[in-house]
Amino acid sequence: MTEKNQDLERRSREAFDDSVASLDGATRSRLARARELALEEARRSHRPRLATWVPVGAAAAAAVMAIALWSGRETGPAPGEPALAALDEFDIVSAGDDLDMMDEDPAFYDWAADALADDVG
Amino acid sequence: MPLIGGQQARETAVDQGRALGRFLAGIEKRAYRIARMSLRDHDEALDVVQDSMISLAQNYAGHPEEQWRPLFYRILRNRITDYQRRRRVRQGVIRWWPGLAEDDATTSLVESAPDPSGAPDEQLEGEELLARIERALAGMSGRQREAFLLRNFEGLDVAQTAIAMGCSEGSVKTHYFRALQALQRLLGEWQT
Repeated sequence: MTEKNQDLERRSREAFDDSVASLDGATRSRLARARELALEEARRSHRPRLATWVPVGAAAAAAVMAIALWSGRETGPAPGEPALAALDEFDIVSAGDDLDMMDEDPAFYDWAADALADDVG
Repeated sequence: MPLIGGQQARETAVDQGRALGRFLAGIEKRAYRIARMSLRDHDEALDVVQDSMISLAQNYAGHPEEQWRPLFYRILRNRITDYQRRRRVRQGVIRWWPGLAEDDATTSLVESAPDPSGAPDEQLEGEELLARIERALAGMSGRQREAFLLRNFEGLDVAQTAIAMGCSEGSVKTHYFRALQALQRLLGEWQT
């Protein structure tokens, strides 16, 4: 690189820097607005990318649940009484029947239990 | 735990947005001047800078910060080339339709008029030199002009300029050297 070239580089660079520093207000303002628009676009384009993961995540969760249910059916209690009995007990509890009635006339329920035992016996 | 991960991701995105804002604020005026010197049109220069900023923000915000500068100038260069191509097509159409030639002549006069922007107290020597450089650059090949603008005005190193121009580092050196030679030749009279 010759000295002449270096001088040209330096002087032209200084002239360019001066022209950048002396940009008018309207142009600066337009550039600032353009920058804000670009940043807003960046935020906007970031959002859909996150949104696309929501259905993917939901589908993955559904698949995991389906596999769990399927494998649960395979490895759960053997079909028959115990499982059904457990379900019956669950039905009774979840039905919300009023069990306070047993407090109203305990003598009657004692008699009914004895009578049932006699019949079975 | 996922909440912490999500929060971290949000914080990272906010930090990234701030860094990108700082980067764009630091580069926008120089990018405008470079676009202006390439296109010689104020509004088109603003448009290509805005397009380039949006494109960088949308597509490359997640890249490492040190890559933003050459990537931005690569986008800017492509946008400038697109505008120049469109202009050539427009001028070709105008030549085919003689009735439009008068408008074209008017536009050319407006486009070739001196840039009214610039502070009054700017040194005449600097203004005069830059105006001559702009005219000289307009007469160079696109590659030589790009090499000079990016290397000398924007201060990109050879590797960054090669990324921005989409060519080899050797080509950058060749184009830059030829641009300097052409400028010396064209400005020689003024410098002596």
